[in-house]
Amino acid sequence: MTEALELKSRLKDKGVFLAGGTDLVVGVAKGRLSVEHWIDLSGVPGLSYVREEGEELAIGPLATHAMLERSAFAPALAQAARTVGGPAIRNRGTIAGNLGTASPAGDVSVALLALDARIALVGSHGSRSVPIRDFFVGPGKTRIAHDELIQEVRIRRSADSAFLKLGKRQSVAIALVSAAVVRQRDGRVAIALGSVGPTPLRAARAEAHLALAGLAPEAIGEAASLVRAEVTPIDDHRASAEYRRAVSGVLVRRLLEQLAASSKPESPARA
Amino acid sequence: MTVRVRLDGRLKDLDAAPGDNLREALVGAGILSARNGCSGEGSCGACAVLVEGRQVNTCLLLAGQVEGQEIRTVQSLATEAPAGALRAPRQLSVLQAAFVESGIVQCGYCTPSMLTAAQELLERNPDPDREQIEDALSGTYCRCTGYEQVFGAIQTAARRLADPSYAPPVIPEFRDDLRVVGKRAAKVDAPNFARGGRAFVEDRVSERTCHLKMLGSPHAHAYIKRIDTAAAERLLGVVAVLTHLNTPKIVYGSAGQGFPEPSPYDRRMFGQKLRHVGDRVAAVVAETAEIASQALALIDVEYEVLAPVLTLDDARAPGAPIVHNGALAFVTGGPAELDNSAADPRDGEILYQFPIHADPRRNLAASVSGGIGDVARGFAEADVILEREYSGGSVQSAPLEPHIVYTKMEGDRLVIHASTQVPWHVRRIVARILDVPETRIRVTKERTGGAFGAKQDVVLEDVAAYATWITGRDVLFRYTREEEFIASRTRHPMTIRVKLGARRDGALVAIEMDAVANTGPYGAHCLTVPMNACSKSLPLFLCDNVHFTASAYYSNIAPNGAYQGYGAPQGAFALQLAVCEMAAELGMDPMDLLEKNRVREGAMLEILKCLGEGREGIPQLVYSCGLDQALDQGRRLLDWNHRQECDEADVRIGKGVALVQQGSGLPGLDSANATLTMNGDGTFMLLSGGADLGTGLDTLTTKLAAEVLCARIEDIAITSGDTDVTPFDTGAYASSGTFFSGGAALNAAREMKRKILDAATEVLGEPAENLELVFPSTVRGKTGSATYDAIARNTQSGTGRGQLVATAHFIADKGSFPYGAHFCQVAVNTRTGAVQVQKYYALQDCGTPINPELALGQVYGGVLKTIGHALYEEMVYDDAGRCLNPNFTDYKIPGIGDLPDDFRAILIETDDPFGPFGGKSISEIATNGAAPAIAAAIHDAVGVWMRDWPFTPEKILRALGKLESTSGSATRSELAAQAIQ
Repeated sequence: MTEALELKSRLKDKGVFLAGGTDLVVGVAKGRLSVEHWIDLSGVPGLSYVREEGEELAIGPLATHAMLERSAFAPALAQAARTVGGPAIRNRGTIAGNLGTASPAGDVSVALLALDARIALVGSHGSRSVPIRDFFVGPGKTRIAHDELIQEVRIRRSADSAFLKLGKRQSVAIALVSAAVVRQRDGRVAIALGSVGPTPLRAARAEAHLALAGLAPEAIGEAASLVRAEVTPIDDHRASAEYRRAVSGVLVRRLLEQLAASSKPESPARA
Repeated sequence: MTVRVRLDGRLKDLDAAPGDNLREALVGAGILSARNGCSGEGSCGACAVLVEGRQVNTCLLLAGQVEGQEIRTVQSLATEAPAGALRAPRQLSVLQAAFVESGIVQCGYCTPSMLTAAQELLERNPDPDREQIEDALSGTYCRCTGYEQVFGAIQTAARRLADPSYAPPVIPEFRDDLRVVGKRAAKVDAPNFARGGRAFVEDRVSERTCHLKMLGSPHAHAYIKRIDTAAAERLLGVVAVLTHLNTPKIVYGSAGQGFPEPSPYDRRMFGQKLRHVGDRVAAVVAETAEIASQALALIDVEYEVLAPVLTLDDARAPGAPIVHNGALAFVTGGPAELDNSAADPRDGEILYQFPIHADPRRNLAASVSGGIGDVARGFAEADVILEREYSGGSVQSAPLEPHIVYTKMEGDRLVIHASTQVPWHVRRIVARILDVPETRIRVTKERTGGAFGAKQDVVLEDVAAYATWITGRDVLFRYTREEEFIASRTRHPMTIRVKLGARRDGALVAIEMDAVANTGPYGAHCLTVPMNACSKSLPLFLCDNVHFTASAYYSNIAPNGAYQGYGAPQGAFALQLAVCEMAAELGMDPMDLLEKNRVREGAMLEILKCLGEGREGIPQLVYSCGLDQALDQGRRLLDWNHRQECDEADVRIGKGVALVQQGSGLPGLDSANATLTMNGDGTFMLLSGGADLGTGLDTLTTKLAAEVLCARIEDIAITSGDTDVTPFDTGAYASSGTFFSGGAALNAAREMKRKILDAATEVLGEPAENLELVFPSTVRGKTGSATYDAIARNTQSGTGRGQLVATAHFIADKGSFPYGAHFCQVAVNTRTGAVQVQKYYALQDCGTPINPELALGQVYGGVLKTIGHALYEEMVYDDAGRCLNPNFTDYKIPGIGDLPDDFRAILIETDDPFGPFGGKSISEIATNGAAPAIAAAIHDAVGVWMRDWPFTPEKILRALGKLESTSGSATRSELAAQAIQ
């Protein structure tokens, strides 16, 4: 890792970190990206792990979606990881790549946002920890400095969580809208949504309402309408803003009802 | 650089440039099976192999990342070599064998990636269930098979690995009186696909091949004002740069139809007028693909940009921009005086073989109308009249192998290795453009990695052939996935108005149908596709008063052409759904209304006399029709009269049905030929003109010959679709393969049988009437018998009568119509608008199913494609005519996770007098039912008529009144408003 960072500080913009490659190599193939030097991290030992440490889950930067989907620590995270693509993508795509790409539609990012993940960054000047709420800056933009790497991602144990995504077709697809909800052990509820703003976003007003009103049916209905007001989707060739707004409320309502019933969805998250 | 890996069990150094992905490095090492279906986007899965035992898309990995790792491709799957032998290369593993026998191998392009995914699954889970198989294959896309048969294949393999004696459940077989026809048999080319062997155009390419890359127009509608290629030509490694200034000016049509074509000759190899985004501006031929791309960037073009015509409304508006403003000319039948004074020479010209009622100045590409009876009187007699409009957007055929051609000189002759449905039409069209006799050109149809109609057109062959002809160099031209979206051939968007008149009792007394197609920038198939929308839907109903019009307009969207179904899916959607709407108006069960009016055996289809592809048509008698059984079985399977409720509060369930039909080739237009020769050991070579597109045509013709000749299938080797080697065939389109190419093989086999009997009279000393053929490969007389081996040795000796060779052809003046009924059950979520197809039963009458498991695969594949078209597939354009989703990330084709929960294809056997052993076509018909059956089921579930496909969740929610505004284009909201009715 130190060697990789040294290389990066020497090469500056000419060096690009590469993990699983599922996004960057496509960028090159499509001519969006031109790379002079790759700094391949996939061979660096000790970066690919998912392990429970007491009340926390520690996720190494090169942990793959396939590893995340097998973890029972947070159902929302496993469900989100499972919807990312087919096995050939999930075996290769990493959590660091998913976060670093900062796609508004990043499924795992949405789950991690609801789970209040903390992202440890390491650079030539030392380490720092960034809460995921501050991590995403815009589409494709994060707080990672050019000479930094994601060192680890950590989440705390929650009481329950769930993730849902609505795509254009039934199976693997880019999310038109995705949502994750988490019930913390102190009862607070977190709601995060993807594809309805420039970055994955938290529904703060809906969360505040639930903090007061709990998960009673009327409270869930009100939270769903607050979500519709909070999201900031756009029209694109996949769906209209209006549809995304409407369905945001539907997904959140369904997830909150699941939380209320404390039943965990068994099969892959699908809307 | 060199990357050392363990490749299929052996150490190997891969050569790779630092930025090369693993797929490129593997191809360099001779591994052909890692296919490139999505231009390196990781969205098709065709390049997947096992890296360290796990499925990985090799296009998403840099070669350098696998140093020291273990890579396994499909080539590693073959069984362990027996002791003492080095290896057993022709032996298939249990898994490969199970794929081959289950019918899941069609075009074979994605077979290796399916196999490696299945292999990985079986290694970690020896007894996978349906859901686990679905997950393992969820990133592996296939456009041919509809996936359904892969579950059986993998589970069969799993059980056989545990117990070698395991016998899988039998699939239905047909015709007890026949030995191989109607019985399961390995598809003749499937073992090679399962081994990842050499088969496709790209597998033929030599190392010194030049690459052709096309500069596509950035504008939907423009003139080239100035083009400067000097800088590109100066680049080291550039061999030629082609533009409208230095290429033949001959006009031609790309539609690979029989001559004289009903499509206009309205394009040149390169024109000065550009008519769609991606239209040809210039081509570079260079020694590497990278140099060709660099050279394209050096071409300097100045455009005069014109307003684009995108929709049918745009095209028909008064004063609309004219897409084709060239001079018109006719070979026959043109008007006495042609006024070409307003023509713009930059537009080129249009040559018609005969009039197709076009008016390009109004963007009208072709039109036709006709009818029977008196519709005015019919409507006057009707108690209920209903008039509706139905439409659908642009959908892609999306073969996993994009269009590709490889051309080279052999001596003074040009050889075209093509992925085509029409080798002889390619030769004819290219010979005309190059202005050489057909003797100078050989077209070899390689295995096609999916075709579906898109490869009926001459999309690449002309320009690659010309480049080779003038430079003498080997040239490879392969579309990227984006080019395949914007510049190949797609389904015509159509708007179809249907007006029905019915009496209270449900009898249809008048039908009016007006089909208007958007043909895009060129007129390939512009007359025949909208005509087929009528001719494959109207004859399903026995109504005395019918009138139709079919027309097509030019526009500047992506080019349209043939696509499996050929207008019939659009026509079926309109007419079948209109009949369902009529049932609702009449308060009748739609099945009762269908039953009352549908076609049946013995009916005379008078309407076909006006639907003859630009000529006089022939009325046809319906000799066989399996709709009685299909409707009866389907009704029972779906429990039609039982209303199903759903446990989930937001979900409603509904059922739908649609009738479908197609033809079996084009009687009076199509023709096919085949030759059989006897080898020295009494085995046979079958030379068939037919073009197998992965459908199993080669297997079918081989089986027909084996049946007649009482020979084993393995004793007949087939070569097909090669203009130097095999006799002429019009090609694989219009569902003609079984009927025409099959008919020719059957006739050749009968002729060979006659010759064998004749030759045997000498060997056995008995008159021919005493002799008969008996299995295996023997002639039996009253006193003795002779093997074909003995007969071959006799005929081929220095005193013999010569090698036995039999050639025959097949034409027809009568047709055989396949029929079917499609039933489905959907669940509609009233809060998200999402539709889930819970059950889909396709009951198909294809006469005698000659290859039953392959016929089932055709049905599953046809249905699943069109479920995709009905629910989510759509090319989306911006206002300038640019396609916004030209890739598999944004244009989704169905994956294995999109199958109906309960998906069944069922073959209904009927007795038809014309086709080979009573066979009728099966290749297109299954694409016609999904849209109307699903739309009918959606109405049954939630009460809205969806009249514009795809029925996306958003459109359904809008139709349900759950979205307030009418965002999106005006036409969209209008359609939504209509759908709410």
